[in-house]
Amino acid sequence: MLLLACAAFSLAFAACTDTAGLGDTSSGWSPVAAVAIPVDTGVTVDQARNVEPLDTTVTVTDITRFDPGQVIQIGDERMRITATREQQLVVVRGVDGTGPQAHPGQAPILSISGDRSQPGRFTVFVATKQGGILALQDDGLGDPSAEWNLPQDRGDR
Amino acid sequence: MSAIAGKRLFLAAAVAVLSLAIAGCGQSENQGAYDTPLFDGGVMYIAGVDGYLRAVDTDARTGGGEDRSWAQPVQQGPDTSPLPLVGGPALHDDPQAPMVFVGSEDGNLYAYDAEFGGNPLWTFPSGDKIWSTPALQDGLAYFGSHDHNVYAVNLVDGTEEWRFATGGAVAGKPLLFQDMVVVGSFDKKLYALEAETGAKRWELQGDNWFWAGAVANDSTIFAPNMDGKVYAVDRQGGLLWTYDLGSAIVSRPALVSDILVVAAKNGRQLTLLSTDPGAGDADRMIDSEFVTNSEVKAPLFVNGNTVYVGTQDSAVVRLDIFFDRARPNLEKTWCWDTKSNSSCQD
Repeated sequence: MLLLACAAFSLAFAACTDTAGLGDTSSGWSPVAAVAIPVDTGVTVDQARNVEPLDTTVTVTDITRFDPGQVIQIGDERMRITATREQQLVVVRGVDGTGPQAHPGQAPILSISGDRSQPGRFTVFVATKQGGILALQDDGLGDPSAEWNLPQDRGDR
Repeated sequence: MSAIAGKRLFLAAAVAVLSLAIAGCGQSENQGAYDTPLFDGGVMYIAGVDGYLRAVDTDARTGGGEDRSWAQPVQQGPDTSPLPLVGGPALHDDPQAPMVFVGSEDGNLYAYDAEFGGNPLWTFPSGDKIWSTPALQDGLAYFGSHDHNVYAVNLVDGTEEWRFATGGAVAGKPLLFQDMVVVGSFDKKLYALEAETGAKRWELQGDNWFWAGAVANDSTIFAPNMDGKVYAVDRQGGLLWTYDLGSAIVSRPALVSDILVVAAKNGRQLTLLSTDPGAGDADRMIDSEFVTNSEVKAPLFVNGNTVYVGTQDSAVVRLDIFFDRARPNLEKTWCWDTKSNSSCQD
């Protein structure tokens, strides 16, 4: 009987600590999401060179602000720079879930991912194992700073 | 006390302890979330372990204005308790009627008004727990269930379009790849199904469960497996290459440019793999970086060239991929302990 009781308790305990077979189930997995804070490069699309959706180059007013690998944003579209030449960026269009669009001359160019001296800036949201949502400001140059921490509530609006 | 009375007392005590233990299951610290929150217009949607679907107005937290937040217990009726939400939410961003979908451990897929929450617009019953985050396309929600099926359900009214039976639980988020739905199963197979009909195009055998969802670039599917390997597969189901990380993979990987970013469950390393089908075994691994001494199970999150990793010891780690050298390289930028709200002590 003792063995039976112990076995039953062990089963119940195991069920409590691993209810879904997910391991450390009771407090989630700390998933993260991050929203970019685009940085204005001060550079624009060349006034005389509109960008069409099928173009793979973008002529800019100052090439020195860009490097291969960098992710930029024009309008709602993100592009990845694969090379630079003269005043042109060679780009992969519509990355990070965006799609190619047309952009007029003088459209401002924002930076999403820069280099080591000017890395990407983000607001980071973490669903913490403590049950809250933690928002961090992250400039990529050092530790982030906590912006707010929202304890879970169960009230409907 | 007689021997019989003693046994009865012991049995009663054992039953009481057992009951407390079982009762405690539902009331223990059911907090946090498993899958990645998603954003739309300054509102974050998140599916909680406590069985609540939440819309959190992040703009209102910092900028004021009307707070569009809501919290909704995901349950079949007022007399039932919400069960954990393992899969993440999926948003149908229709300006006229935005909807958010989530599967529950109670076996149902639920549809809600994304603006206001409230009672479900419809529910669709599967035969067992749902851990799979739905994938949406062309008016259908695709998801898997522990009842072994992959389902395609109409977004508007929740009617079933088709189902496909695998040999095991389907826990990962389906991948929509060209005109196919690619799903992994606990039967150790990866399946490619016609998105329109659910007919099987091909299947690929792995050595263990396909749990974490696959990702793809224009030509290749990258499917992580609990055997520790990433399987790279072409659209016809041909195996292009595998790479063994040496530890089971639960975390959904991500793509940065032509690089696959993948974390093994043991958390030791975040690894960059070349997606070039012509790369040899020696060139497949581009770089790797220590992440944590804890496990990694949460999906990776990529924005630009930055990768965020949530870990099982409550830390968040930022790593950046730099392209300023002959080969891309990965560097750990910071680690933040969400328990103490301070930098991690490595």
